[in-house]
Amino acid sequence: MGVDNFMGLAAEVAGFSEFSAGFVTKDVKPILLSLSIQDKTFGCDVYSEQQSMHELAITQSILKIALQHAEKANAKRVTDLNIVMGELSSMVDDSIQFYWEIIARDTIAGNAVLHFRRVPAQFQCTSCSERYHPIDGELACPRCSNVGAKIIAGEEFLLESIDVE
Amino acid sequence: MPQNIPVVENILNANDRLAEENRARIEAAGVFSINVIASPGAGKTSLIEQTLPRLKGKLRVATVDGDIATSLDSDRAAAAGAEASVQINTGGDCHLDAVMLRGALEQLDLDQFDLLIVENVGNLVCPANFKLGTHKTVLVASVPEGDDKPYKYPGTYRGVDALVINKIDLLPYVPFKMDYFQRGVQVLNPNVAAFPLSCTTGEGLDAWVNWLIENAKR
Repeated sequence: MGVDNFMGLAAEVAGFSEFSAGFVTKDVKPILLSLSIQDKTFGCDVYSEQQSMHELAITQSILKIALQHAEKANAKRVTDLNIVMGELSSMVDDSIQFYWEIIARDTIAGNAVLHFRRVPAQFQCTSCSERYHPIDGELACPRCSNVGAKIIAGEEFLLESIDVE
Repeated sequence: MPQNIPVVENILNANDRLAEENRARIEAAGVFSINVIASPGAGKTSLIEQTLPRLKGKLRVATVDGDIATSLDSDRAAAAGAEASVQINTGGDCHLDAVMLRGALEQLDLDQFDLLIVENVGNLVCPANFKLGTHKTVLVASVPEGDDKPYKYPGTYRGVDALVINKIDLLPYVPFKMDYFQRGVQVLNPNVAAFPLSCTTGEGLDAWVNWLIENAKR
């Protein structure tokens, strides 16, 4: 899928042009502009001068991993992707879904359903070993008020499995 | 026939592997490297501008600047005394990734330097997810942003090695509770090296500069 094609598709999605408008600076002195656009490992060439979020790069990575595993299994199509997403991983599933519909549509995973399993953050107090979920605006241990903690869950971000046919 | 295939692969694996390659390359040249991240306006470029003259004659410094567009920041770094300055325009991406840094490293004769400063794109969320391969990640926070940032961006505060708290000269004018801020940081990242400073008055900059020198000479 070429950049032009991508921009055409993107324009079909309501709000996208608004989302990208106004960010492209014409008066630039790019020294390395080309390397970031063409030298991507993620396998898709949908990079453009659009203002994008990190979920685009991430969605490309998900697609690449899924297709590799599907190919290994000689699958005809990928029906489901099971993604594990920790609360602290700062990923937005709606954005991944948004990009997925654009970049995956011409692949054997084009109709796959994305399932996101959210893992809540879990802290463990280094003083009293209490396990707790931090509340808004307070990270200290709710039991002993200690301010040292290990994060034992919530940072995951992985593709757990795929369903294929 | 429907079939479930276990994958269990970290989604950012490809980037992480490339980051390791970058690290090997930087290490082979004996260079100490930092990745500077912050929200826009926190003072990344000002910090670099204030740091470079203080390193003159002590460390040979190269800078890599990531920006969505323009080379304003790399121009400022060059003017402040960086011996080499490479600009990466991300073409819209809100962060640098390991591929982009690899391209920038190819433009530098790393053997000529002691310290590589990578200034990431201004953004508090995305850069934390993409490793570059640098030795340390430095987060620049600033007083006017507010004291609740560690609570709002725990993933970012947790993953950094050093924390610069910039614009402390503004403490009398803004409702920034240093205790509250530091408590959040301490829960998430008790061993972080913290440097409260002001790029305007110069207060606190010496400790930060010494940290860089110590690490680079190691």
